[in-house]
Amino acid sequence: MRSSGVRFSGNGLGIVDVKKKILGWTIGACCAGAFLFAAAAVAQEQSGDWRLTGADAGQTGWQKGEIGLTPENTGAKFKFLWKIKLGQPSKEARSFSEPLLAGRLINAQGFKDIVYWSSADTLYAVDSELGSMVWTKEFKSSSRPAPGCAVSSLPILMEPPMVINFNARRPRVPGAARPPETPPAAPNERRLGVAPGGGYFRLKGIYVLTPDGMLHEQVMTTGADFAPPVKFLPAADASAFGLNFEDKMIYTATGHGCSGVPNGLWAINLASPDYTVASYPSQQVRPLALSGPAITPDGNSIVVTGAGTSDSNSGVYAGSVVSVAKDMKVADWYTPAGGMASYESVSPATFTYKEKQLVVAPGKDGSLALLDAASLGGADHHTPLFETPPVAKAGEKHDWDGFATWQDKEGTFWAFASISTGITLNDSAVKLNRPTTHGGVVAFKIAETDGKFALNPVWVSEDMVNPAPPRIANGVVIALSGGNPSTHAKLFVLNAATGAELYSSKDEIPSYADLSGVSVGDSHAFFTDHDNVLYSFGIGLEH
Amino acid sequence: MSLHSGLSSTHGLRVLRAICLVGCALVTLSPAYGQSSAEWLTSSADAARDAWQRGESKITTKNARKLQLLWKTRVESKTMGMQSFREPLIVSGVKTADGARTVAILAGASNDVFALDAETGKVIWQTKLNWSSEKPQEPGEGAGFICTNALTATPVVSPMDAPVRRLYVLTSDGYLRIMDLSTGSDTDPPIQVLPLPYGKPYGLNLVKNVLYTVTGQGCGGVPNALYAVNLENRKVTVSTPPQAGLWGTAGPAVGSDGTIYFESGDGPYDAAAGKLSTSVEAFTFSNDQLALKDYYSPSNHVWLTRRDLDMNVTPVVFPYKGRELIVASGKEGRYFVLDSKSLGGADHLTPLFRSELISNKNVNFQKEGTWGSLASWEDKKGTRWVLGPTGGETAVKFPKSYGSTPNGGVVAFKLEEKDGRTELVPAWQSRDMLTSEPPIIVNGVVFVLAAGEYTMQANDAVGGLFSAEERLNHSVTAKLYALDAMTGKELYSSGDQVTSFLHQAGPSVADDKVMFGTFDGTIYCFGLK
Repeated sequence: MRSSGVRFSGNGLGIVDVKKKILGWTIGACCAGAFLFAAAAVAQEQSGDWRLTGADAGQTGWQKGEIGLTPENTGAKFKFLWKIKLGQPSKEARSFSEPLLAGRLINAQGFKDIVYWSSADTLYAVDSELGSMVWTKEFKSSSRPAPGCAVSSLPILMEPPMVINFNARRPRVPGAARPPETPPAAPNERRLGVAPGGGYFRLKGIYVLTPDGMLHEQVMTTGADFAPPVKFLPAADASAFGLNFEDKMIYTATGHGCSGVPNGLWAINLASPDYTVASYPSQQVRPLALSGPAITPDGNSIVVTGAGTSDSNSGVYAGSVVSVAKDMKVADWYTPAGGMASYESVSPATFTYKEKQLVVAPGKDGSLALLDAASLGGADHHTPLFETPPVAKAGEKHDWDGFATWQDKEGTFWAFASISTGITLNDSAVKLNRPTTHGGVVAFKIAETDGKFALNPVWVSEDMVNPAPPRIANGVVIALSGGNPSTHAKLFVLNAATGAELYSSKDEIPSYADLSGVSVGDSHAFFTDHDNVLYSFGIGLEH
Repeated sequence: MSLHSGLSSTHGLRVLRAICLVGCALVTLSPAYGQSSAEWLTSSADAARDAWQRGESKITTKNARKLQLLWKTRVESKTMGMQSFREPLIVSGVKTADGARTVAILAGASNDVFALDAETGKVIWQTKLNWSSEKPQEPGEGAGFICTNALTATPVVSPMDAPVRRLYVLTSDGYLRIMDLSTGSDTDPPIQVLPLPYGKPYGLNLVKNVLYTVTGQGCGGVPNALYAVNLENRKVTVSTPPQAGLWGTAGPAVGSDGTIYFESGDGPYDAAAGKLSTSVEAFTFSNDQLALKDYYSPSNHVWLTRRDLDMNVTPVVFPYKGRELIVASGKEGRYFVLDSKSLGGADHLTPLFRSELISNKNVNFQKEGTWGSLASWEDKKGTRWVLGPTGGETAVKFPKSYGSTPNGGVVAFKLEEKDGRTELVPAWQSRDMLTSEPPIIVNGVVFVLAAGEYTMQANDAVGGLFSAEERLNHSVTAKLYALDAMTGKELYSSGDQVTSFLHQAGPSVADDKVMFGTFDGTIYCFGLK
């Protein structure tokens, strides 16, 4: 594997929390305008950033920074904005992909808001407002993966934002010279995953896991190599799933048994001098983590495992929700009594609820479960905090289910699930928008009474074919009905509280979008279709 | 908010008041405020900031090719970051030991002021203005390339017809110095204008005995605001609330009715609260009060703020068919024609004319689009022209152009009436110039200084922003060009005669001489022998 040069593009148009805002203006103004700021510690993340698949390490799908989209304005203002074709689609494979978003980056061409997406061999950076290419970076490979071991999209993620602690600045002695700025590290001194200095506008990295098993870090503003890549997976063409990041550790999963690489989870420690890699082998049991494991704040990976034979001596639990600690040892597991449905892929979501870390995941065949991350299945590993009635018929095959969580303005926590088979939820209290014979999105309120939890169903969306995991932004749910070769994709915006349809792309998307996740930022939603066309929908900004 | 120096009146002050009152009365009768023949007394020539030297000149399109370096003089002037000299002021009839002379006055970044004989380049006097603030002076040159510890505002001289003429210099301690033109000595106690040292004020404008400036980039903790200094009573008035950066290099422009115009850069936008980022603002000054009169905000101001495409230019004001118009521009690369009676219509979003994108296709805040200030003149046929600098390729095709302009140059427009609409129509685009300073017009000839400054900000190879030192090292020598004002055709280039660059300070023209100072401490004078 070698990386080829980065190509910059011209700017021809394609086919066409308040502190953070202030920080953006303030820092930006360093280049041009005012510097009036008094705040404590502020992460430099922009409100529209989407650094990881599913918005955060817990894969909650909740864009917390959104302020522009509302249930009230979406119907009138949400629309198709632009699309751009990003190379040719892979003929050999289809793997999960989801665009990532970063705002207010600066390069020699100015401030940029960038949407990143990777095909099988190329990382693309597109201006997320204009739909124009900023740069491309190709990763050439000479290997020939075995059938079923190619990927159509390289896993990518961004590093977390730097936290600027303004209170940590030492007050200047009047009349004293200003302290010199810390200069950026020289290129030959850079190490992957190590911030190079240079202040707010320091180089920031986007990580790419290439088929040769190497973890690369590219400069987000230019696509240039930040530092030499490091070995992550033991062999090429292991067909890794998505990436996730928490506390200087990057995680991925393998589940296709490709190139002799065992099924399991993998973690690389960016803080260790030699980039230590640890793994959790799950033997013949596949982690069903197309988008990578969900990670709790204490660094536990949460995955759902597929069918197979459990082996408690080896820490292998089939048809379960498994928590694997940072050291890649099994910390806990939940195995639904009566067995889990047949999933091709499903990624749980984990989120902080008051003092607890909760997990929403599949329960007993066709139902959904709410779990305590500190004790997934209780003492017997079979007892969730709560299990819903079946939302899908028992025995049905689920190609790709996903979850999301959200806390509304009143403080109520919600859980959402995308179900890739007919929804059979039978509850008179549930608002059914239409029959959902192919699948759709189900919304639950999370209730807690005297320490007892419940997932109370509220609404079911209209019918969707292969829906992507739902996304939530400021009271709206963004759901992509991915379609299939005979049904084109449709993007929906729903009222998160009621499920009412606020927007539908109808026939705007001519192709289908298989295994395509949706990212949301700055009132825009992004995804790619089967033909590698990147779409932007949302509330447009006059340019 | 008002700052009062608290200094008691003196006899000199009373005399000064009387002088100023008379002077102001005379100024109002002038066709262009503060401008008289063969002088250059303020940024961009006059209060309206049209950069049009109306005084008689022997320089014509026919003889401009004979321009030559008349003299150059090296002085010891310590630079600060990127800052060196401000735009020269050219004053006639200054009494010197050699008799009445035309004098070029240049303020340097370290609060030093030089007066040179415009004829010979001989230094008549030089002075380093002492520190007046109670706040301690800071060692070093400041931080980065934006907030340096420098004098940044081009000074101003009282008009020719004022009974007693003075030089006004706003030093880096935030104090206004009132100086004798013949000797450089203080004639009055300094006036504290800025609340703190090391602010970043821009070109001083003197109208009716009131001196105006704007500040930008929040340097030194000085609020970005319009400042008015009433020279009669020495009161300083500051507009409120603080704005986004106000940083047109020529400072505010002043219309014939005394309305003060300036543009604002990126920042929070809340019109109801008077926070008007990325806008053109109009203020009145009366009874030592500054009041917002009107404003225009481009309808895409959210986008402009998002991409740091500040409205960062000193607008130009001129009469046009019975109206007074304002032309504004900014880093976005569009031009706006505004009616002084209602800048943006009832919604403050609707100008008389909004051009298509003239430059900055790359949406690059660092160098492209329009920077500094504009220029405007009227030809013999009565056609009104507007000119501005660009920092890169243009986005539209001009009827006359002279090759690709990757580094920018100057663009010229005619103001025309089309279907009852007032429009700026592209006329010509100059040859390529690296970091052109705002153009000036003299007798049908446009002078432009390609300053040679390296203006990139983001060092995307190693991260962070370029330091001032790095930018200095990337800068190249400046070149002076003379162009035909009707066609943009190059009439003269100084070639390699200039050996350094300069930062955000254009040339001045008076008495047939084009003058400017460069970063290496050299002051140049070009003209006809």
